[in-house]
Amino acid sequence: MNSRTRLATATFASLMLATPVLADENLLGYTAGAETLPKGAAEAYLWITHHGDKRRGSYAAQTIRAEYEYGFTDRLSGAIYLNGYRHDVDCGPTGCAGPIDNGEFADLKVNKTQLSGISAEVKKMLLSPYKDDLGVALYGEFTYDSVDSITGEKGTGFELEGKVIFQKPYMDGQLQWLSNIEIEAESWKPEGDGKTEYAVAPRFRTGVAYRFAPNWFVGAEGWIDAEVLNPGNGSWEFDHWDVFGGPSLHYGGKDWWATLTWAPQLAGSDESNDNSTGQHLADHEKYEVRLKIGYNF
Amino acid sequence: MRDFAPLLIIPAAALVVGPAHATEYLSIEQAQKAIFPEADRFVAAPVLLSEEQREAIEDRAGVKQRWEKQDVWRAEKNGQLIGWFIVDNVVGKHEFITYAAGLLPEGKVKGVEVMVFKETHGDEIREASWRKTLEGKTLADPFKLDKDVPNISGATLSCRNVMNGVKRLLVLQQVALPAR
Repeated sequence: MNSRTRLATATFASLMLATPVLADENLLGYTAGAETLPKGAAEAYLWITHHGDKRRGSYAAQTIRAEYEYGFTDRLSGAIYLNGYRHDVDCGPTGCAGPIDNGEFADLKVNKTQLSGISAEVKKMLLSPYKDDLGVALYGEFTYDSVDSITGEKGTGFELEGKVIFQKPYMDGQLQWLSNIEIEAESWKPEGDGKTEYAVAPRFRTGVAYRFAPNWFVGAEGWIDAEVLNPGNGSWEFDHWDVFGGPSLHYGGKDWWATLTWAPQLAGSDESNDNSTGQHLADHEKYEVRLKIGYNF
Repeated sequence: MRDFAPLLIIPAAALVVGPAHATEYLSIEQAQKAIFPEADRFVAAPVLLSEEQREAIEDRAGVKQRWEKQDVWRAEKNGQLIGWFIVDNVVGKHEFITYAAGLLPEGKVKGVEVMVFKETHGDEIREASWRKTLEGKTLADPFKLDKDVPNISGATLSCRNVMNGVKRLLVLQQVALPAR
């Protein structure tokens, strides 16, 4: 058997063995890897992201996402999401953020869980991290939202997100470095007569994950993002920037995996001049905790 | 942190260690017989590599020689060396993969057997059709996935690391094993 015949035979054999795989296993909670699900493989995910504490008042919100991902080819996958929010917020008369005499979210009080919308995602792996040494993938996601993620108030929003994903394995894959360059464009029209707001947010995420024991990875990741905003009057203005970062822990099992990340806000632009605490707590919170669970079937 | 306590239960439950999935497919003796069925004796000849030898292996193979000690046996027939049987470990996606390689005295791969595959997926590398693509390889071959060794989608890391491991053992043979 010559090498070309062996190559063809082995490739055919591999196609016949439809064992579930975990190629798109998320080693970090926020920073994506470049691998895609192989052709015909499917994976279900549950994401829960807790957003905790603003400048004042009481603020707790959870973003909940249920995702189904499918591998169309070995290098192209798609996913659909069902999204929801849980809010338990009581900002009081001075509001949860901004200046005390003109606080943001003043008198906001909400305690409810709401289904908010759907998302669709497509991911294309251009280079494999293990075959080509540096993995590169393109990612696009569209979201329809009917709930304001911060306040829980109803409205209509659309979001388009694009990413370029890089993944570099070191130490034969025991250590992975992941980076994402992202851009997000969104619109939001509050229920009633409010104007439609537009925002564009570039973001850079990076992190490492190291396998310290069989099945277990410890990692750290962080990101910086900024947002420019058009509040509906046609003019664009810089709104804020922020930096988050923290540790993560990942477990990968036979049929499922889980990743837990804790990310406090390390720095950010103040919402107003009289709040010089070095954090942006209007659009973001003091910390986030994300749990992702993936299951193969 | 209002309303967060119930959510804390979920990560705690999720991070409970799952069951092990270690699968030993072949013992050392079985792997020896599979690769060198004609041998009438296997003589243990473990190699203790010096720092210089490990660096030389890494330089020439392009992958790290992680351990000082490598388990090696002389495969003999009628007292003559017919090849080297080497047990090795490489990184899999979640655990180490234990495999054996048989190398002929002239520096050519006689065969490869996967002995212990604790990985939770990607065990297609155990299939003879894939392992056979490594047979006959020498250091003159490219050792490149999808060029001279096929890749298995979803098991790319296992394919790459076993392939690179075999190449590393060919270099180790040149660096540390006698010609006869």
